[in-house]
Amino acid sequence: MTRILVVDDEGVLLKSLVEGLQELEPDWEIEATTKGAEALRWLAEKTYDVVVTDLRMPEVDGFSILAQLSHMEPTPTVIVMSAYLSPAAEKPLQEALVDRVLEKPFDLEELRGAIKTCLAENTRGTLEGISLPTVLQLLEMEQRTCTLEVQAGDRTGFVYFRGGKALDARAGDLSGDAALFELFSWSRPKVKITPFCPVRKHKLSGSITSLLLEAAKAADELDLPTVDTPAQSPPPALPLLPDLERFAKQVQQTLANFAEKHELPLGLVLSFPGEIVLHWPPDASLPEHETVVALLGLAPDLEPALPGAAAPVTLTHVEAERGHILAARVALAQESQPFPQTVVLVILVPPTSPAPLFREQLFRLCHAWASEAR
Amino acid sequence: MAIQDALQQLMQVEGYLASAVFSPTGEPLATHTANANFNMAEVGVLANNTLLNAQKASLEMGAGRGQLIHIEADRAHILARCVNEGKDPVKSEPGKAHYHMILLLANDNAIGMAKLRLNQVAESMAPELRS
Repeated sequence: MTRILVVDDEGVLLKSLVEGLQELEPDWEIEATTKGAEALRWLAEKTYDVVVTDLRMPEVDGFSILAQLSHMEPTPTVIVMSAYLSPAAEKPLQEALVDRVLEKPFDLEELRGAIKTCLAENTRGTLEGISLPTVLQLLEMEQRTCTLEVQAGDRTGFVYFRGGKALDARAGDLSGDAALFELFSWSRPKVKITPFCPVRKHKLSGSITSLLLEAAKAADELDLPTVDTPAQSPPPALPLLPDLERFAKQVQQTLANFAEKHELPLGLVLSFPGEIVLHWPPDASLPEHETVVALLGLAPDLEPALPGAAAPVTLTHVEAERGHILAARVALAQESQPFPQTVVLVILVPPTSPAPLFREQLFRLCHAWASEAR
Repeated sequence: MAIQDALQQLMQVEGYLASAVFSPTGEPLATHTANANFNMAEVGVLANNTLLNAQKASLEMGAGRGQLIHIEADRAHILARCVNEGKDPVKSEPGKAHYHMILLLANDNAIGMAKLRLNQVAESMAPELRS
């Protein structure tokens, strides 16, 4: 029995693919999901012969799925389907990662043929796996804005991308080029992609491609291995937010008067990349992790892309059918600090309440606190 | 109304800086910029991502369908509007228009009028973008 997993956030397309394949190949056991997170769970629990995945999906995307697949042995056959894959990205995908790349729209027979061909060839056996340089190059080519968390053993590092440009890297107490070179040396790291970039300054001296070449050249000259460097001491823990509790209390106090007059169903203070630091009312039912991730995404790091001098607060107001969501992104630290501190304050406002007043209060409060913290 | 004509209409809004139309999966369909001091492609992508997250968060927090967001930064105001003729707020349906329109303003002097204008122009483009 051939076991196949199909992942695509377009539910209608997914349903038609699965139904069509099942009709043509009744012996195949096909599972499907529109959620990347669910696919990751299934991949951890079950074994598949073939994984067919879209690349661009909300939250957990195809790159994260490819990253997880690279740690599996034996690696399943991987087919990527994408509507907007750039030619530059297609090449490394095919060379290093996947067995087939299908450009949407494709017909069912094309997918069926690709699966059968891959199964028949079965040439890969154990796939080399996705390497960190390949992931970095793909993120650069696909112009992603995200934070790449890299883990190898007890070591953790980060690479920050904005619009496909790699801005900075961190590994232990290293930053910039040195950190990136350190990350290149880690063997078979696990990578996790979060769709936010808390870094603003460009500290890397070139593009990912040019830095890769430089790293390879340096390794050649020194005759040093570029992988499997012995583990170093674990990186220091991220510095704690300086006055978060105090800020949270200020927020609570400031909004208390509003809350008396207008019932506020929920308020949250979230740290990057997704811990609920404070919530009120105390007995409120808290949102699930996926919702928290979506809420963090309401606080875009737009300031660096806008003309003029940067400011520390961005506020998003969502006008919905049954209420308003206000989300303020507050950058608490100067860029020169090792880990720029970002928190997100979220308030759910009932539709009958004066959202503009809440917004004004929130904006002023966040500005005052950011100024103080800096 | 053709997409470029629609974007031209938004230029009349006070404080206009730029506008763009995106597919629901984030691909830019059209862009218009009156000020070349910033990268509208990057701002548009970030605003579009924010709209996608807003729609998801709004549904999951029980606030219902969220189709308009207002991002307030120190140096600009960004309005992002989703037009989706389908029943599912975050999915596309065959034959139904589904796209996102982004409007970037230098200030909020006429933010109410800007929202009205954006709603009007965004909805007028549906026949062009119905697939």
